[in-house]
Amino acid sequence: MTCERVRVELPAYLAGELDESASRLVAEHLAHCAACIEEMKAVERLQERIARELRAWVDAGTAPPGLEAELRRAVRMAGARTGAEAEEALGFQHGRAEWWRTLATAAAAVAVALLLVSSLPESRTLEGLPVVGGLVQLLQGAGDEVPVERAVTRDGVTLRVHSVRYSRHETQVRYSLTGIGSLDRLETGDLAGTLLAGTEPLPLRKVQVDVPSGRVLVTFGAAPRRVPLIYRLGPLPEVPGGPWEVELGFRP
Amino acid sequence: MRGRPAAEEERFFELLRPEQGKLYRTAWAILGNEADARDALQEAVIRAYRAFSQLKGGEAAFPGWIRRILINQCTQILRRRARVIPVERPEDYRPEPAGVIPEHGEVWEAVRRLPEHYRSVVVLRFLADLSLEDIARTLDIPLGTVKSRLHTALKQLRSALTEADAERRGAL
Ligand SMILES: [Zn+2]
Repeated sequence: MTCERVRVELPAYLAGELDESASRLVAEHLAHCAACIEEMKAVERLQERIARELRAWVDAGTAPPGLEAELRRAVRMAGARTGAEAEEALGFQHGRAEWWRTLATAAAAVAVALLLVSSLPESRTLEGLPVVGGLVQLLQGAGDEVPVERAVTRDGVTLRVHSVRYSRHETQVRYSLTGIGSLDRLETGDLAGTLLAGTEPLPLRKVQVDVPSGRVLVTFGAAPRRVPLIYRLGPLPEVPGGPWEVELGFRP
Repeated sequence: MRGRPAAEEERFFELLRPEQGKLYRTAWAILGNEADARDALQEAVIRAYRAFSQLKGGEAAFPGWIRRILINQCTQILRRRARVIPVERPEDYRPEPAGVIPEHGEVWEAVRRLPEHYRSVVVLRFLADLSLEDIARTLDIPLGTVKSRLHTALKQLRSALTEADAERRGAL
């Protein structure tokens, strides 16, 4: 993929709307192109600003003078009818593409998982070592993390899972939540979410939140191998949208 | 007597009142001008009123419900317009009188200056929260076209907002 091609795909990539193969091509390019990573960050910031400020502009709207009287007149003139028009009016299928359901086959997912493993640095064999928490890891991640970089947006709120770190003892999911203002309006417990291995939730161990960066590191019990993992967050109190779900692939 | 009891009409407009301004701006953003926004809102309100007794989820669901009806109405107008007027409509853009650019208006000022086919994609994406595939379906254009329009629109918005930021800094 060329840089230009990648850049056209970035909004879809950021929102998790690309299919597996296209998403993989973009991810492969990003892994080797610092310029496109910078561009991705800029696009992400820009999109957040546009969504936030457009919404604020709409919310600040007041009706022009005489609007209600005009609408009342229109309703009376049109006459009150009931029936199939309700369905017609609502016929529009609204909602984000649920891309993770389009995951073609388990085989495709395995291929992705293998690709990610092969791109890991040699130092990944930290399995079994105690996890050192703290801000540095929260912000930058440890060297042995499996990159995910998948996002899903609902009602202007984006959950982006950056990476997952697997060990024999635990599984750590690193994500950020954007589009809700500051994270400190939420309880730490609300930000834990659920890590599903198949349909089984893994036990929750710890939640670490870095409010300024909007980053969260959640530690769960160990994930079984070769079981598809899904991270689910929300619904959150007083935050629109949700639950947000991101398919993480498999523990390698 | 075909009319509804007056009480029901009152209830409907009580629920509508706090939403009117937002709905009006939503339609304005999607359609690019206030006259069409007014028409779309009127049509959406008529439809919503007729379906009001079938509103599920109680009154708390009203804002989201009527917003959806309105967005549907607006996209129908966009589709119709795309068939009739294949060109940009420069008359859609009338600058606000100086000094009354509202708060949060910077992004909107930049968005409303975009040509129609860019603005509609941006607004459907960031205000109506549609996926790119939904936008393609809604506007009846290929997905690749949606992606390239969004890409170009974001580029234009970025430079417009950078300029506006620089101007504001310069003015301080
Ligand atoms: Zn590149």
